[in-house]
Amino acid sequence: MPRDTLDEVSDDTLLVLYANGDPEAARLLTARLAPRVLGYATRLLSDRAEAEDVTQEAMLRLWRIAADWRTGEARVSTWLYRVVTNLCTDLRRARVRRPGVGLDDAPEVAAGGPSAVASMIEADRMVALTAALAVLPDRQLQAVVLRHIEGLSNPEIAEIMGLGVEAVESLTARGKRALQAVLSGRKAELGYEDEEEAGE
Amino acid sequence: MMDKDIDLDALFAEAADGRFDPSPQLASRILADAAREQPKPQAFVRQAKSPVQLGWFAGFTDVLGGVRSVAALSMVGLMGLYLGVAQPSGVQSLTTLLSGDTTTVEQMDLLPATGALWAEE
Repeated sequence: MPRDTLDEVSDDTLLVLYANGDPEAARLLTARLAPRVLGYATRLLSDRAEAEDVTQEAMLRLWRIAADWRTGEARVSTWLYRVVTNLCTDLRRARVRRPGVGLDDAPEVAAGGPSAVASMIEADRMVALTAALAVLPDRQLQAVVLRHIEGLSNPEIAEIMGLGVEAVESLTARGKRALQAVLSGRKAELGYEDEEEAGE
Repeated sequence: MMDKDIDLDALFAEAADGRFDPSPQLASRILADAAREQPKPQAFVRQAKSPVQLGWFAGFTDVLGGVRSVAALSMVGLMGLYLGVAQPSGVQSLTTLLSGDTTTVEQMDLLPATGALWAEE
């Protein structure tokens, strides 16, 4: 989305405008924050429908706190990430243990031309990553997604998760090792060996 | 380093490029919640005075400028009464200093000409 003057208004300011009755502020905040909330929730839950419910609930809590929001104390996005983290943790704990998307459930690569194969491999990689993320413990999953996919800094993640920075670093490192262990057995399936051979 | 097996950073970068746009239905639900929860501007309404029946004391204080004025007047009155009855030495000295006279109240004949009217002839 091209930048315009409205994009330069901070989330804090938009929230204050919303609390003061500006109807446009809600639309701007939704356009800006909902995709991030939905993406984060989807990665934590591996379930789009549940992630949409979490997104709506997190945004609802944002609207409700708007009147009491104290600017400068916390970033709106950080606050939302914390809300989503807690909602997803509750859902993952409450949800009946059901088989998630396993690596064996990844769709087979259909026959086709080289570009079709490449795009299917890329899609398979995302499916494999989602499946591998799903087997991580809650805290490792949250730390890895926030650090490596959402691109937050360790201090921001520490604030969201209510941990120290060192604990976040430890969780992230352990999460990456676990992902590596899960995914390394599928290297050939995910097209990495072909790429290495082509590169040699 | 184990990343030599799978380039996790590249995988993460691919994942981060993905955008999760809310469906139109979800966006509508979020905006409907926002409209419902948005604080409404408060209209300024002058607080109407309740029609309380004022007692005679309230009317009295209103005439004199309120409770504070009545309290100040009462204090001044009590102070004057005290000075008049007790006649502290400091006040007497001040009176002497100002008037240069030591005439006491008992010695003063405030209506000297009326004495004759009451005297029996």
